[in-house]
Amino acid sequence: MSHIKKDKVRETPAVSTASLPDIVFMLLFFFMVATTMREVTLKVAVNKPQATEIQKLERKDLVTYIYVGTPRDETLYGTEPRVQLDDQLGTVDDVQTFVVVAREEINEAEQPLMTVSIKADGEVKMGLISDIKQELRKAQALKINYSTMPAIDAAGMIESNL
Amino acid sequence: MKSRRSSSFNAGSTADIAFLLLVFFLLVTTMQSEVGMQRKLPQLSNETPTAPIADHNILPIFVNSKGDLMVNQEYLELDGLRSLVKTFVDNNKLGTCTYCQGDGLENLSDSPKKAVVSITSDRNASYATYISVQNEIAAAYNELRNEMAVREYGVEFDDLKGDVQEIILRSYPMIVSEAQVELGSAVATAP
Repeated sequence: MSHIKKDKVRETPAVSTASLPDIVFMLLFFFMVATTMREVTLKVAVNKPQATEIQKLERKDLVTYIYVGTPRDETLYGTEPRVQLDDQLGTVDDVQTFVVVAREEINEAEQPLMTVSIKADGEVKMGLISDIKQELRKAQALKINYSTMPAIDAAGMIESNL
Repeated sequence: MKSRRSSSFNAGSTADIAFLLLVFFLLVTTMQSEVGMQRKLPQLSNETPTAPIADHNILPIFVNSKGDLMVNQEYLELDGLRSLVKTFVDNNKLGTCTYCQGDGLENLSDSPKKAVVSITSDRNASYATYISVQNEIAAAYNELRNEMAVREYGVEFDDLKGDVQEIILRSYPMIVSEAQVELGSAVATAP
């Protein structure tokens, strides 16, 4: 009897970790479904403005992105807002070539459906944006999308954008 | 006994493998979904537009470098823009628009199909202000379309079928013209 008692005290019930892989796999699948792959490493800081009247961007393979904002590496690129095309910082003059090249990569039948998404920081001046839009018109890329953050209500949007 | 024992394998490392995969996906993916405002830019042409638009069919909106708005030669707060655009578009001066609810004022648009909202922004205005203005204009049109859907079909615009939505979209076409003020030039004349 005493022998059995001794044994019971020494044995601490271990937490079963058998379900741990299942839990982690569940988390894994959640993240695989809910997230999208990063397209490029951002070299400019983009804090998108908010808007309420927005649509979802469909057909990601037909979308070309143009990033506009102040460079993250200020010592190297300065503080003036710059345009990022793919992985490089460019100027407004590079936009036309970039868009034409990007369109060439799309299947010919679907080229008219190409959308250019402008992801610009809210602080960027309209002059730069207008110049980019003018370049896009020169490149015949007329379908554009102003990338924004979804806002819950109009009052909050106005406040955050000012 | 021997064969039964070999059928179970050590599953202890599956958790580690799954964690590794999880960390990988956490690092290379982003949570943000892609949303934005779709717009169509006008064709680039050297010809000057021939058909002149009557003054009362244009709602001129000016945005200065500080983000202030001037609409119809008057200062306006951003939160008043939506209702102003709605009254302008829905005005129905000619009385030809059967679905309009406007008062038919003299100085506002003939019909929604003729109404042009014009945004002129200073080069030093911020992009966020411009997006807010675009957003308010879009909101005004969306409200008008939704009101028409409820009035004529009894359901919200989003719940209507595609072809009926098309009819409403054509009834309230969103026509926005954009111009840009060069640095230092006067903003006296409407485009």
